[in-house]
Amino acid sequence: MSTPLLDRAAALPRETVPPLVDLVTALADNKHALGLRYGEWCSSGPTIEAGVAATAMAQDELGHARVLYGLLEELPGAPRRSEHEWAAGDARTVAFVDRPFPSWPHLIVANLLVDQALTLVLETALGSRYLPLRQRTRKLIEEEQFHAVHGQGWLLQLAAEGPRVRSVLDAIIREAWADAVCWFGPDRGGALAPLVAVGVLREAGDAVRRRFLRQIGPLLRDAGLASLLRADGDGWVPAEALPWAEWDESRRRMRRG
Amino acid sequence: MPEALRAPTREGVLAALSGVADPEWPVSIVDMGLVYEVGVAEGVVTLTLTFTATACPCMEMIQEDIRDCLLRLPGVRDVRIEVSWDPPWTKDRLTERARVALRRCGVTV
Repeated sequence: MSTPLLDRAAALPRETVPPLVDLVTALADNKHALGLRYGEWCSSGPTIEAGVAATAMAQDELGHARVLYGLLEELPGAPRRSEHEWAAGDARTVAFVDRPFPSWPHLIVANLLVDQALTLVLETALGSRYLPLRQRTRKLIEEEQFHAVHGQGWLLQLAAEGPRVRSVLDAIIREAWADAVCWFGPDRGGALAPLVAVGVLREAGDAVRRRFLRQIGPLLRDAGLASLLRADGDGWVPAEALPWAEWDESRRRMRRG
Repeated sequence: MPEALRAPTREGVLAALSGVADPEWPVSIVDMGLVYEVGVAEGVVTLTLTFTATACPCMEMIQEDIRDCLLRLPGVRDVRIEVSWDPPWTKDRLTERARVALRRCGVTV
């Protein structure tokens, strides 16, 4: 017998509402911030084509924020948000996207780590029992495919410029690393575990992190930028323990940020 | 029967929507495949609509155009629009008429 869908917010088990509100708010706010950050490079990318790509990705991210903010409207206790107004002091973003990117490689690292971490979390909602979330997810993931290709291509291109650029990239990856790799939650998902238990998400925590590292590990290795992770069997693991003591579960970011 | 009292039909609504153009292309929203469902009951038209992209800048404009169009139909007193992203829009939803029009504009479909 299949598990019945939860077709509206009132059907959600009470204990799942606060973590779902936190997760959707953080997903949407990070996408909103990515849209603003990408947009700042519309006319100042290293090539005309790069600026056009940044423009297209900015538009996508702002569209995704709009779709996800719509999801918040029916969740009790959710903050009020609009794609037209940045939530400034209350935004649930990772530190890396809080401020304008000082260089094009910063945009590429955000594209590769932050953007793709959010996408992997969205993928865990593809078959969600919570219908309003499930109905929005596939479209967002489809639109993200091009962002992943963009980040991968540019990272390899930049890394091929030589050791000086690789050293710069390595330092930028370190800035974004902890927030991106912790975004899936600790162990079995931490605050996201109740959402997995009732089928709102398929999985969280280590399972999604392993998939993320399997996705970026070979790319970072090929780019000569794999200092923060190491191969482990048929997958990849962080080379150093993740700083969970600094991780803020409800705001989904490092406290030091 | 006076025209104002005639009950609107699903077919009538679709025919009217065929006159609502996508603001970016010379193609109607019906030929673009943006209309997923149409319901008509007691003068209320319910539409399930999608858009080609979540960042479509014309979403509100298209919905305004739809309301303006349908509220002019005899017997329609309200229009309720629900936006759906499931299934996602793809080029497969374009009608042959839309494909011809888009190719004429230089779009490969």
